[in-house]
Amino acid sequence: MRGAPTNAIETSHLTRTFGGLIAVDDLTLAIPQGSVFGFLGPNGAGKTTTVRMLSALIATSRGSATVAGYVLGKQNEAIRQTIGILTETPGLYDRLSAWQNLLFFAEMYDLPSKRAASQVEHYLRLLDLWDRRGDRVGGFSKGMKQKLAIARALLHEPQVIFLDEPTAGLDPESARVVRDFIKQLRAEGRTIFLTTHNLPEADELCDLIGVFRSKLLRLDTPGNLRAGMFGAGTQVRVVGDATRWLAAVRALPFVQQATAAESILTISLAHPDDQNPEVVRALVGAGADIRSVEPTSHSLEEVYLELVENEHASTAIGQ
Amino acid sequence: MQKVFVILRKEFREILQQRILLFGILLPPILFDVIPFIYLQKIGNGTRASSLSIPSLQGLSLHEYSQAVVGTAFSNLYILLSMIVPSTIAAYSIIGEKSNRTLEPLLATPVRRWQLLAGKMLSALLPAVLVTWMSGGLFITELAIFTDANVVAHVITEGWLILFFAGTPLLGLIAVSVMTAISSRVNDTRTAQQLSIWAIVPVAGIILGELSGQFALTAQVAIIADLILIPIAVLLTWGAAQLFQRENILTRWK
Repeated sequence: MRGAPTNAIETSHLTRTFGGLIAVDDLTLAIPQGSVFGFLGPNGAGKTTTVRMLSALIATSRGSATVAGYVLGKQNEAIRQTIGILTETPGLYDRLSAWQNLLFFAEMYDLPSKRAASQVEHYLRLLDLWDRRGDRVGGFSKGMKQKLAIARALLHEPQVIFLDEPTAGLDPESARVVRDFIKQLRAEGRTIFLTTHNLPEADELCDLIGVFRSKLLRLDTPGNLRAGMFGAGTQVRVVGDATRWLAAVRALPFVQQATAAESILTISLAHPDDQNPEVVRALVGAGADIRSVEPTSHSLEEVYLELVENEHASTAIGQ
Repeated sequence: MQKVFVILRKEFREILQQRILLFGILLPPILFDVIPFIYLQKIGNGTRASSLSIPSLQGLSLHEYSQAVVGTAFSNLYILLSMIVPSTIAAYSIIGEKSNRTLEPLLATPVRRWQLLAGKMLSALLPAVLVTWMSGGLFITELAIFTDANVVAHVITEGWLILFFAGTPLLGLIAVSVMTAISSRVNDTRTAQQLSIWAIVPVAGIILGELSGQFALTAQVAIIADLILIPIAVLLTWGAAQLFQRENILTRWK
């Protein structure tokens, strides 16, 4: 029986081994319905294996999972019926036309013939491929193939969509079309499991991010990930050498850490929004001329690299 | 069954788009029909009879005997044809899908394993049986037109007809199953086709035995052969089905 899931995907201690190799180790996560989940990790981290398990393509070794309320391992056909998947390569039939490709998959997803045709037309128009519907896919550009593969994943209106590198190899304009499309899908309440190496893209699109390397290293919102990793803070640009004002800043009891480089003071604070005014007052009181005050910004890329490198180092020490 | 037909339609569309594959499917039957036509035309009254002594051809005149030897040799090639053609199609159908990386999206659909396997196997088997039977039919017509009256009855025996109509689908199924197994280990269609030739060798050996007079292809022999082929075909199809699992295809196939 299918329940009414609040989480589109839930896994509990999900594990997959290949002989002695642990590809996915004890993965426990919950992805709320209607969110975009970014699954980040280096090549060979086990991301594809995880997606294959969750899309009921391969079995789990241990643990359990539900996808769209269906129990993995027991309701695999229902899971496959409910999800859409964009694999790493578009995997289209080059000798068939765009129309024939999509119609074939629409029928494989059990759409009645009239609805299949209308869905194919809808997505071909939506992704600007309608005029090329009769052309062989073999002659399509990479971007067109990718858009067609995305259309294929959506023909049956799945509630959970797995997208593996949806913008890889696309020109900036096509990548923007795909990203906007993903936002539109989220606005429609669909859940998207996004595997990507494009970290700015993950930052832009994802509500929740999991950093993964055989096991889940961190699971949080992009904002919390950044704050949790490097702490919140403020950068103050002053006139002249900033080291002169370090003592005044460090004298404030709530300042966790302060460093100076050229004309910039970098100050770690627990609650920057509340504490910034007092920092500014202290600096002005000490005689500093302030040019600007900005929150410290760390990219998701910095967070990701820090996490993966820390994990790599701890693994090396463990060995 | 709906999805099996959907897969079949897709497979046939793809086959029709591949000239090399179409050539591979149609060339052997065309050759098998054209060559005996030439031989039968050329056999005149002065032709020496073959030194082979084929029991089923006893009692024929020298001229009839010559025609019958050629007819018998070629009639047996139609049995082999049912293995050659499906191997070619299955190689493109399964390995082609694997090398083009179209299998994973297909496996991600709610298609059942048997539906996918049936679609793939039938797309190779049906054209093969059709081509074999049509080609064989043309051969019988050639015999009727270009040979002496006694020859047809000596070449197109009950045994041959039983093996031709009941045995060729089974042999085709065996060839497709073998090709499915090969597909799990091989990544290019040519290598797969070369390997699948080995499946033809035992059948070719039996045919050679008949041609060399070791035994006659009587109705009884043909029925026994068909009865032997049934469990072999079932066993090999079961083996192919075991290999054709999502898990195996995605994690163990090369």
